[in-house]
Amino acid sequence: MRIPVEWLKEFVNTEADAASIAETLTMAGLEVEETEQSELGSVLNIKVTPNRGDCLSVIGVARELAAAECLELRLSSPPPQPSPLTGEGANESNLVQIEAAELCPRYVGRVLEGVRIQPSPEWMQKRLLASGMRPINNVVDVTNYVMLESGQPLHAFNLNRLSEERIIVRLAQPGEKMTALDGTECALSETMLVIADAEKPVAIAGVMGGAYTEVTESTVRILLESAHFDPVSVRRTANRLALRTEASYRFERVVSREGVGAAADRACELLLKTGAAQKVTRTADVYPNPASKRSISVRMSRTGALLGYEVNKGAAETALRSLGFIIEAGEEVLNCTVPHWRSDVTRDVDIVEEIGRVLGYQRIPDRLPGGAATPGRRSDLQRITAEIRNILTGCGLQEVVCHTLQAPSIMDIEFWGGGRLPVRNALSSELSQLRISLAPGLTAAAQRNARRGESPLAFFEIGRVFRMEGESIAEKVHIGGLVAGPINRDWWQRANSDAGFYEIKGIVELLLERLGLKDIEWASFNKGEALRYCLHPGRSSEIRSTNDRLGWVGETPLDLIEEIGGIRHRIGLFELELEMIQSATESQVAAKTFIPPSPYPAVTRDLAPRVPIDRPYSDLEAAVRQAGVTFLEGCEPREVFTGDPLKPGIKSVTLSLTFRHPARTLTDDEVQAAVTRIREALEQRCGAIFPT
Amino acid sequence: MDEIKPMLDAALVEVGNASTVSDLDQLEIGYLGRKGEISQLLRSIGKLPMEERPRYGSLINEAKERLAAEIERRRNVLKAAEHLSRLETERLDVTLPGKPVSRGRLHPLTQTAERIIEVLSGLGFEFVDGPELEDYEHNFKALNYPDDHPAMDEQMSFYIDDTHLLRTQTTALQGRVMAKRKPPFRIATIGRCFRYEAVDATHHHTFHQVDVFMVDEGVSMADLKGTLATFARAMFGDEVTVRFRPDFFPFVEPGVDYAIRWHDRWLELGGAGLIHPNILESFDIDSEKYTGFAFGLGIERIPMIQYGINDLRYFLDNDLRFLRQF
Repeated sequence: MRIPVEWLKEFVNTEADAASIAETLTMAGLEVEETEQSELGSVLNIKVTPNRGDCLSVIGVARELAAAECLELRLSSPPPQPSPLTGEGANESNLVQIEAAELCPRYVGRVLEGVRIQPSPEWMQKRLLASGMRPINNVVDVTNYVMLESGQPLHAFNLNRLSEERIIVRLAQPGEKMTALDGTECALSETMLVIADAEKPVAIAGVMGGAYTEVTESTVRILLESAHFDPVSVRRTANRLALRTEASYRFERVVSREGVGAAADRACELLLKTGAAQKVTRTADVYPNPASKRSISVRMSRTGALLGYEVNKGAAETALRSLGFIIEAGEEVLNCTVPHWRSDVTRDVDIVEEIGRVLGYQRIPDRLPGGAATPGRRSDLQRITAEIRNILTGCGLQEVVCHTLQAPSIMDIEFWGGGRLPVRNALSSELSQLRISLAPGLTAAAQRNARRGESPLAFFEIGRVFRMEGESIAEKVHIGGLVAGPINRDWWQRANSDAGFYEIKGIVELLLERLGLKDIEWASFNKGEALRYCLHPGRSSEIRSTNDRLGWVGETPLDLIEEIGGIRHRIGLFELELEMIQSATESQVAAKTFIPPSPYPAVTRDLAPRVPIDRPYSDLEAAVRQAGVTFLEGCEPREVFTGDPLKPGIKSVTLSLTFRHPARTLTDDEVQAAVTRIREALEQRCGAIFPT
Repeated sequence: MDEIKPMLDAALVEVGNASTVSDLDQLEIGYLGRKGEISQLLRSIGKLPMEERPRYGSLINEAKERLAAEIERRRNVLKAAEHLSRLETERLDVTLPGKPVSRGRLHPLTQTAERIIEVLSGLGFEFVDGPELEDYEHNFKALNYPDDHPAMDEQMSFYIDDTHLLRTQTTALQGRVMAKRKPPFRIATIGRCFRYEAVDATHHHTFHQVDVFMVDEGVSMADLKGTLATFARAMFGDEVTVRFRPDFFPFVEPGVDYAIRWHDRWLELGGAGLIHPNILESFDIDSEKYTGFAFGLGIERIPMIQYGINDLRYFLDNDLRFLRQF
């Protein structure tokens, strides 16, 4: 809120300039965000925290300034006249009636007659303008002035427009409507508190007055309202109606019930003094259950223990008194009566904060916690993701961080099924759902960088994705990668070729191997599945390990790359679900045991079976392994050959077989017998033919 | 016998004139090889009278050794020269770039998170992860936010349904931990947070936070200040000092905003305070016996300060020209 320094100085006799007042207030917890200039000199723009409704006023801020500077708070002298009416019209029972006492514990009404509407005095207008409010007329300006000064919102009704000239505070009835002062048509609901006359709502309590009872140039009699409304009720109503006002802002942050009468007095005083009205003719103060005083005792030992240094009792007392607390000091205890405007102070820690704050937090020493030593460590998730990051950066992939909130995309690869999670209150259609896959973000990163002419387009991300699984929400950590074009930069000696399926698969293989996974199965998707996932049907694979669906790897179909636009290379992508990897790892990775390297030499033999072209390599390797040669150490494909002189539909796969015995040197006969067995296994299981 | 000396002299001249190692090899074979001149001389000793043979033999051997030594010396000289000339022909332009080896980089947010994990682990904090999609209970209620409190104005979020929202603060983890653990504990968490906010250079709907808290007997504001100061010095350098300013967060009391003095400026980093006793009590932790502190800060803030990054949007834009700088 904006507070002119000139106004502040009415209540605090300080010589300090605006800059030093700003610094003092900021360090007291009232952050001065900026200091502006106005006709009245400097104006402080203060950010008041939501617990300090009492500081949404010049007096509230002045009190903090006085406490921080050890000065006295000078409340207006002489104090406003007490209720200016006795006898007939005073405390009239039928002027104000409260039907919803829990939402409106107190309502003060004053009727003023002889109203002559004109501009308010210049000094008042200047203060209002400097505080960011537009002067309207001498009545409305007084209500705003007193609100700025004391924090209590006030409202003036045109009395002649109030049916039966009385006020009923009640909940709105179904179907009731009201046009607010700003012209908004408000449809009211039964949870909204309204100020009504005998017939209809005339104001939305604590939020805004109605247009019909507005004070205008022709108004001659007014009813002045000063009341306390329940903060939650005001907040809900203001939110529902999307009406945020100076009044609702203050009521939400709790205005003191005890100050309601004083604010009404102050407004009447100003109305009479400035000639806006001639006299007060009727008054009411409906306050059935006056708030009781709150008392809190705080121990000095506790104060010291919390603040971390020994606090002098006298200094603590002085600090609290300067804020309006009434203190009764015992040996070790301060019994504090909380001032009525401090609804935020409810426990001993709140008092400790007040003491610490006024004495200054610079007194708190630096110390490291003692107590039991606890082992610091990263989380399991942080440990495994750090390892994965290390491997993937080693493969040449750049880490990216993409948005969780995304637009639905054709690249949403719903491999693990489940439903998408739309955001109910999206900022825009671009941010309308939680991501279900990392693929769209990676693709977008590649696309944007491709358009900027950047390379290599090789990225990975580790992040959360979301999906519905039946009735429950699943949040999963995924690892995704993308490579489009060569991973290595072109070099002056040689241009690099595009990465494709095998490059991206190689990265996934390395990653899974380093994480300790063996026995990975790679299986093409059937055509329908692949197209549903927007993957190239001939160049994509599911990645399984026993029963776990770890993820997928594949190329994006060329037509889709064209549709995405911007990327002129094949795109290889993979996505893995971390939980699946962890589950597979747990079932597979036994405690590592050392196997001594064999000192005996290895023997290598090549075999080149010819098989039908659609026979997967994994079948050949399985046949080799199942041939039962115990000293077979390895089987690697060396070359896959098709074309002349082979018949169409036939391929030749050169297998490099390595044999080694752990305990002795193998003889030629043994190796030859082993090769024969493997050859027979290939013939029987895979229909392999060997050229003679 | 008379022919030995002239032959040796001639051979030495020839060796001296040999200009390549292979010429020298030919000479060596011609004189010292099995059919070489010196070998033939030695074989001819048998034709001499018995008494002349030893003297003649030793003369030939002397000549042979002399020649062999000279060849060896000459060979070393020639080899060295040939080696040098070969090196010369292999000369490269060292100013051309080397063959590229690709290695990806970590995102600057990860690099910062790694440093934070290292520092806080060293201070005895254990890292725990929480969900990004939180429930209202943990994001607000368990953190001492009264229903419909204006403090939530700064915490507007994205809702999936009535109870689930993208967390607005990693502080949401505190209730999850306190429901399971008994003090003493020191916990930290790092993760992604969301706020319903329009995006500009200093605001984003998506950002990252670290939240740190501990509960033990006798934890005070001084322990908080000391821990923050140690943390800040590890991140920003030894000369950093920490300042507290009163502030309000429902989950701490006293609540402060902390700033560090860095290069002659005060930089506000985040919120902190002593964990509100209402929270401790709601998890059956005796708030007289135990106290705790909590602090949090935005991860993005750290590289922004360290590297002078002036726009929050870079972190999620994934522009290689940005990412390559870290």
